[in-house]
Amino acid sequence: MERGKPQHILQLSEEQRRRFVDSFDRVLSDIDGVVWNVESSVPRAVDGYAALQRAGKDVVFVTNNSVRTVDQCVRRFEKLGLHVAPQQVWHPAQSIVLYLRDIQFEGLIYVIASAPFKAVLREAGYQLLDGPNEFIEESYDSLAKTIFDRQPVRAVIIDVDFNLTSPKLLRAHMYLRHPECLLIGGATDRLLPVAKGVNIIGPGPFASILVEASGQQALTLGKPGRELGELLIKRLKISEPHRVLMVGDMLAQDIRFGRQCGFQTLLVLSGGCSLEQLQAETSPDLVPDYYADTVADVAQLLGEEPKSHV
Amino acid sequence: MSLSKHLKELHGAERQQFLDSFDLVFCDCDGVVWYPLRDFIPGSARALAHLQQLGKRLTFVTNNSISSPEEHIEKFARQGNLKIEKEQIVHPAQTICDHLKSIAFQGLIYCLATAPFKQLLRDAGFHLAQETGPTVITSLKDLHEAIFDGEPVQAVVIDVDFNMSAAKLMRAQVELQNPQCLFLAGASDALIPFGQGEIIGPGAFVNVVTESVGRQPLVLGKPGDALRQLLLQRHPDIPPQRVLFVGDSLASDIGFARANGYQTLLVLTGGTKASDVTRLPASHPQLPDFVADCLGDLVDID
Repeated sequence: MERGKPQHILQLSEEQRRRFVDSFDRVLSDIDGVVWNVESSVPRAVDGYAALQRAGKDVVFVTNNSVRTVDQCVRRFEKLGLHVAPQQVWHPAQSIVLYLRDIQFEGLIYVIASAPFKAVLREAGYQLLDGPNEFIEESYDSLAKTIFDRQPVRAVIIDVDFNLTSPKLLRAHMYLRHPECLLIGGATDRLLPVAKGVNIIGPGPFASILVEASGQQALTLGKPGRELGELLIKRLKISEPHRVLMVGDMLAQDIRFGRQCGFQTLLVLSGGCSLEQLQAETSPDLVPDYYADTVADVAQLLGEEPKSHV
Repeated sequence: MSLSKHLKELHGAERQQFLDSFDLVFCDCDGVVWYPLRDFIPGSARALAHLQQLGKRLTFVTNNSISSPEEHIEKFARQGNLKIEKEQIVHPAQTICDHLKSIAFQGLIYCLATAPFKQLLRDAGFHLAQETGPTVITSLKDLHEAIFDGEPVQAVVIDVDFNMSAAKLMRAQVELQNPQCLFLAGASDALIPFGQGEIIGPGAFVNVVTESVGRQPLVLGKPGDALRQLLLQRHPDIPPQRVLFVGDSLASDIGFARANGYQTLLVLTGGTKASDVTRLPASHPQLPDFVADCLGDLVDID
């Protein structure tokens, strides 16, 4: 099917709106840049989800952010007036645990990630190695002591680590020389928006260093990872992917992920992508079906829905 | 069957023809002259002395800034009984320092490198920015301090840093949002030989910044284009085909040298195995002209 330019959901005709609303049963939504940004919440974003739930749509949040815990996330939703159950929130640390269980992984794991991320893996019973957590002495001898390790590590996991250093990556690379050692990645973002117009380097480029050095593809349990898509489809028992709507603010993570899974896609302009960037995008993998200023537009879309039935 | 000629296969007239075919030798140090950061490889001092006797001009092109040019000279004298002048050593800290002097650079430099590298720049009168924020980052606020709280700089320099960190690279990326801020890199190998194999090299970290900023650094270490130009300019009187480049890395030495049209000799005393060479097709840009087990083969042939 020929895909046209993405349409703004509030510029759809009555007929198009009704068809769109009826075309999905489930919403998978990103959080950062959609519900809130680093310092502020997106105004009335929660109204969008409340309206979706009232309309009988199943809402699940799929974030790439494992730096905060699910509990912190649920509490922040609560403060904004939206009740979200912990099992409605998916993040890479927990997705990796589910994945490791599915493949019946046993063995030692070397992990480069934040403290909350590591806590999720430990609570699931996995045995972790990490570090060094301090700067090493500047010499090749000290580097050798740090990175050469004979412990039988069978998975390297990399996600966001504010204290990521080159000795950690060099050590991970050494474990990956073992033919059975898996490389598993979480968040993939190459740049992270921290304020309006200010981006910092995200975790993606560091995971790419390990991919390139080891020559091994990563199993990716963050968006837009194929393994995350398969896991979600299986666990959420999604039989008709086209009846799922993926909502997010990042073309390379959310929209790419949605398109890859066969979901419909809605980009919101409240986070990491501007209207200009959206309009400049030509890759079919990255162009969404729909867009909106914010998720609050969804409430308006649904609020007007009954009128069309009158 | 290798497409590269092994020095041991050269006999008589062929050998003489090879020795007559170059006037200048560019030679890597670690893995070629000596084992990385350690002792001379047997035979290499004799080979270098032989080249000097034949009247060949010798220049050492190293990516190692952990040792200063003076330390290199001292090591050549002490372990190899070789007299090497400072001008014969091309060293990333030095090439970057020379470049900054040549453009009369003034301003603050954010330098991600080893202590000796930074000291060389300070000794030349340049000012280096301090790190800000706590060494262990426990919150977004800490991260923000490390990235944004430093004084703005006018140049970012990246070489080998034993403690390269995400926060340092993030600050470099933020500084480079200023289009006036210079972006220089030294050693830029993607992988470097170490122990029984290769480890991730400084090039991987340079790439993280390059990709996120969307502009290329001036690369004054191997295998950088700016260094290639600089080597060509050093000896304008010698045509590239009369230059022999000797190294142990296919990417950082052989591919680099071939891009300048030099003859190439790969020695197997460093990071590359004979099987890595036999795998290469004839059209491969990193295929060396010659291979030797060690630098000593230059004199021991026949």
